[in-house]
Amino acid sequence: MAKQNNTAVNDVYTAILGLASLTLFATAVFVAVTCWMYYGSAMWNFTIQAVR
Amino acid sequence: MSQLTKILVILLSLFAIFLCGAMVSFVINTNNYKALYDQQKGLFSTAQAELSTLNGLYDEQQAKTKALEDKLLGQIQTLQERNDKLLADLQNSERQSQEYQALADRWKGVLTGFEQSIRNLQESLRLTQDQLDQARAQGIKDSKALNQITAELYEKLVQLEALEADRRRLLEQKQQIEAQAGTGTFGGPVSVNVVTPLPGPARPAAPVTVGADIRGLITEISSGMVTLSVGSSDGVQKDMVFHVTRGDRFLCDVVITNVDINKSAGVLELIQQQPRIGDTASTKL
Repeated sequence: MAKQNNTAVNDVYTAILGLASLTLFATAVFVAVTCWMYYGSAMWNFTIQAVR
Repeated sequence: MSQLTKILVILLSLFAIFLCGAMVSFVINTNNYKALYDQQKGLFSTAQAELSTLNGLYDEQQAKTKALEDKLLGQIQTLQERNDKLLADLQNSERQSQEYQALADRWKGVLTGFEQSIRNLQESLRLTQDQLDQARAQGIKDSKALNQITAELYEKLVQLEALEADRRRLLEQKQQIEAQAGTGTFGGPVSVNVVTPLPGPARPAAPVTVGADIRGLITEISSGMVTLSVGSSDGVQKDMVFHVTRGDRFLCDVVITNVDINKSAGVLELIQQQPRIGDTASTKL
C-alpha cells in the first residue's frame, strides 16, 4: 500500500517536471518563431554575434 | 524521492514557468528593429535622393541667380550710365531753357516796342488817310471848280471872239464909209460889204462826252484784273470797255468794274495776248 502511494506521488512530480519541460520547449519555439518572423535568416548572424 | 528533491522539483518547475512567462512577455514587447531599420533606410534613401535633387536644383538656381545677378549688374551699370547722361542732358536743357527764357523775355520787350510803334504808325496812317480823303474831296471840288471856270473861260473866249468880229466888222464899215465920203458918193443908200461873218450866239462849252475816245495806260496787273491810269475825271464809267493794244497789235479787252477819280480797274476779256504794264488802253481802236 505504501509502495503504491509512492508511485502515485512520483507520477505527480513527473507530470510537474513534464509540464515545466513542455513550457520551456513551447517558450523556445515561440521565441524562435518570433525571431524568424522578425529577422528571417539574419537571425543566425545575430545569434552567432550574441554568442561570441 | 526525498522531500528535498520534491521541493526542488516544484521550485524548479515554478521558476521555469515564471522564466518562460517573462521570456514570452519580453519577446512580445520587443520592437522589430529590422523593420524599423529597413524603414529608416528607405527614408534615408528617399532623403538622400531628395537631397541630391535639391542639390541639383540649388546648383541650378545658384547658376541662374549668378547669371541674373550679372545681367542685373550690367543693366544697373547701363542704367547708371544712362542716368548720368540724362542728368547731363537735363542740366544742358535747363541751361538752354534759361537762355531761351532770357531770349524770349528780350523778344517780348522788343515786340512790345514794335506793337507800340505799329499802333503809332496805324494812328499816323489813319490821320494820313483822313487827310488824303479830305485832299481827294478837295481835289474833286477843285476839279469841278476848274471845269466850271474852264467852261466860263471858253464862253468868255467865244464872246471875246464875237466882240472881236463885231469890232472888225464895224471897223470895215467905218473904212468903207470913210472911203465913200472921200469919193463923194453919198446920194443913195450905203451898201457895206463886210468880210467878217456875223458871229452866232455864245454857247457854253460842251461837257466831256462819254462817247469820246479815252486813252490810258495799264498801271497794274493782278490775276485777271488790270488797273488803268484814267478815272472818272477823264469820263470813265462802270461797264465801259477798253481795248488794250501794244503798237498795232490787239491784246485784249478790259471791262471796267471799279472807277476812282484818277484810276479805274476792270477784268480782262477776249484775251489774245497777256497785257503788260505800260500797254495802251483806249475806248476806240
